[in-house]
Amino acid sequence: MPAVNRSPVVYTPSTVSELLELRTRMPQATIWAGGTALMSRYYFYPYPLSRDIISLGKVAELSRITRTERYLDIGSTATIEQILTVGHHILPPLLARALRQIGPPTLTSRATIGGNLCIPDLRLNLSASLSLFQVQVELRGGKRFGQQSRWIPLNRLYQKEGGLLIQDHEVLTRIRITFDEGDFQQFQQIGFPYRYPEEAVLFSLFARHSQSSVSDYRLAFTFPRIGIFRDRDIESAVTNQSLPLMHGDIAEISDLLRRSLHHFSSRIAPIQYARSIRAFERSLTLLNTRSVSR
Amino acid sequence: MNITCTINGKQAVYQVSSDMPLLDLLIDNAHITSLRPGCRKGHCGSCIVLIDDRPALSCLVPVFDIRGRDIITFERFQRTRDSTDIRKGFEQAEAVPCSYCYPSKTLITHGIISRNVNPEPDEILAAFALHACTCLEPDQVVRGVLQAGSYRGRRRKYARSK
Repeated sequence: MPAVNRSPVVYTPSTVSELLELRTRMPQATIWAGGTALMSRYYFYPYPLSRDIISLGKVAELSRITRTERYLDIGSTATIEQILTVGHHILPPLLARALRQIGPPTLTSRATIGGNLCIPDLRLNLSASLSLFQVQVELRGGKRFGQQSRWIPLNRLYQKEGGLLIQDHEVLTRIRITFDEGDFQQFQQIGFPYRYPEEAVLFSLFARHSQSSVSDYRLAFTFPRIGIFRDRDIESAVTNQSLPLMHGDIAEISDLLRRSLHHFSSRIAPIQYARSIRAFERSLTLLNTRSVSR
Repeated sequence: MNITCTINGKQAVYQVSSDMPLLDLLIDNAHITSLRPGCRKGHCGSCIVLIDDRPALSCLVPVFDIRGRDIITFERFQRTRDSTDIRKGFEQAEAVPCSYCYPSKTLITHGIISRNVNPEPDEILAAFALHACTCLEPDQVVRGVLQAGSYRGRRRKYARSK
């Protein structure tokens, strides 16, 4: 049978060491978790070239979720539905909302957290939301490469332009979320990031505030095709501000965001730009309302 | 690749490419006619089947993932009492879906009420969010599913009391 028409060979390792062995042997093989993103690509089937698939479905260790007092450890093939069920009462509201907005149960019962983080050309709901917390990810590589396991902060998983920084022989195995309490958390999915990535914006916000001032402010925008935008200047411009913010303050910080977005990428579409500014200004107004109603 | 699975109660072996979507296998090889190959990207929700009694988008499931599993399509499901509950529920709520999306809406409803016969409206709307067909208003969908759940609940109660 010619290679182009060959049915892909599907490998189903049952342990992580088997998986790493296969990954080392076949760095070009497609890693298959839930497959929801892969299957929805128009070029997925029939695939023009010969390829192999490593399915993670049978690796029990990768779908495990454990919780300690300080953090939540999530295996990379835990499904979104599984995480929402287990973490119902303990997940920060921002994350719970980001997870719920991924899709209906028919999709979330298959889609995995690892898949959501590792689509090579798209950044979806979880990347930016998780980056606002202290999140570490575990990458494991085969013995042959002299490296068994390394933990890195989530933001080091991506290039500035949004691409993935996982090496060919490595596999994302665990995501560790350290609990962090914030009294103002927001997640907004504006548009459809999977269907229309060039138009959608994902807005994540985490803040701590008292009645009179903001003590901690973290903000991230995801532009699905471009990457994650996070700017420390804007965060520090809001932190330590007195509440409620005056109209002039809001206009000034919005201007700063406008300039930063221009610097960040020229690929941001006008609609994404407008949506980002609108979401940001709305969140500041909401923060004001919250502080007054306390 | 040889795929062995049970489709509508009959065990079958198919020799197909391992990355073929289940949707294609069901239409081309198993000759199922209730499926609508709409967007093939998991956006329209019109190709739903039950895999081990849970609704799944058949366009997003590769055939290597269905080995040894039980697939039920609307052809088989409509002959069950579970389907009758749903049909009666939607009729009672005066909210009958159009013929295009009737199979998939029935299977989504089954997925909801088999877990909880009295689901929250948010839960219902979240499950139907995927469905692109707008033949029913959201409140009609909620009423239909709740009515179907009440039929299912009553039937279960009756079966237990017997």
